[in-house]
Amino acid sequence: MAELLTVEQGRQLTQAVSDLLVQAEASAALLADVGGNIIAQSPTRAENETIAALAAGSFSATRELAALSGEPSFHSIIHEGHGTSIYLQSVAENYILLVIFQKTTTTGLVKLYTQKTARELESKLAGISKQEFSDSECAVAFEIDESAAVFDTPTSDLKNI
Amino acid sequence: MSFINFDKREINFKIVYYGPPLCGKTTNLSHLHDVMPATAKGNLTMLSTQQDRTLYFDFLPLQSSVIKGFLSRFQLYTVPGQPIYDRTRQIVLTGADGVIFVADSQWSKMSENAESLENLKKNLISHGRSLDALPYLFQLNKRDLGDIAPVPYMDYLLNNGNLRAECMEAVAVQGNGVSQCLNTICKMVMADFIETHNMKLEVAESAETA
Repeated sequence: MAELLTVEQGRQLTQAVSDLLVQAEASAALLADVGGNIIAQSPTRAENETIAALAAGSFSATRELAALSGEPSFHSIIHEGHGTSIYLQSVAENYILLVIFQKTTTTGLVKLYTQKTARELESKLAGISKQEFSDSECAVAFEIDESAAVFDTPTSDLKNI
Repeated sequence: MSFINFDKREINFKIVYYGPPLCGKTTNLSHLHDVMPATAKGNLTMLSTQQDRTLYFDFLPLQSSVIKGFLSRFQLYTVPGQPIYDRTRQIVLTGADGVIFVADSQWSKMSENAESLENLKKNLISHGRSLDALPYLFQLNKRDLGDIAPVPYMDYLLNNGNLRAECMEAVAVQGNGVSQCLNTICKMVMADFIETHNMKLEVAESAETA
């Protein structure tokens, strides 16, 4: 079982996230699935992979809290800091929009544009899980490079016990 | 669940380290973070209690170019071993592409190993999945300690499902066997992914020509 994102979908979603970054006057924006996989991000940063995993974990925990509180779900979470804050918004149940912003913008502005973007993305994201591998550009036979190790391991780690 | 991004030419896989409390799951990730080249690893994140016990999960992202034309990203997670965190284990297990079950080789830990394995099976069922349908292996950890069960005994105790899984010895605290387990599960996960994907492709192509 796998989810897949076509080139065109990837570009559209990246554009939507980039637009959100500008509109909300934020410092970073990313779209991830509830498993912590990054779908789109702006700007691209190494730490976003960990941020997406933590956001997914945070949302899962929040979903449990909602269930225990008698709510079907909580749609958003905000982490407010002295200088930097993070706003998380659920999108189409299985996705999360995450916006990192500074004091130079306002929480209201971030919420407004994030919720607007979330509504716009719902139909685009609904298509991802329904796609088939037979779509022309996805009809690629994957092949493992047999000459390469998955991970190059230092020899000291290879001794047998 | 693996995720393929054709725009970025990336494939994401999720590997979960499962096992009883204090069996060495976090130690596995710590060692991998220490030995992996900087170009292949991201930050190691640990969500722990003040007593350094895993509270939610540990997370280590790694990347490899072993699938031709794509960047393969492996997201390694551990689950908390303590019994009270069962709901957390279920959450972390969501969408796993492969599992390394870390078993503690000490005689006194055999019942905890068996209970944790049963817990893994139960939690997979809660996601509508089964261990037999998932790439997994057993890492028999702490083989350097004195009072340990023989490998055939642990194999008999744990590895008695419909399909026989690989059992690999390890001393995670010294790094022995850690990378071998990771490389093996990654190859199993990729082989499973490629087989499933290419089979779907063949079905689609034959449907088109029919």
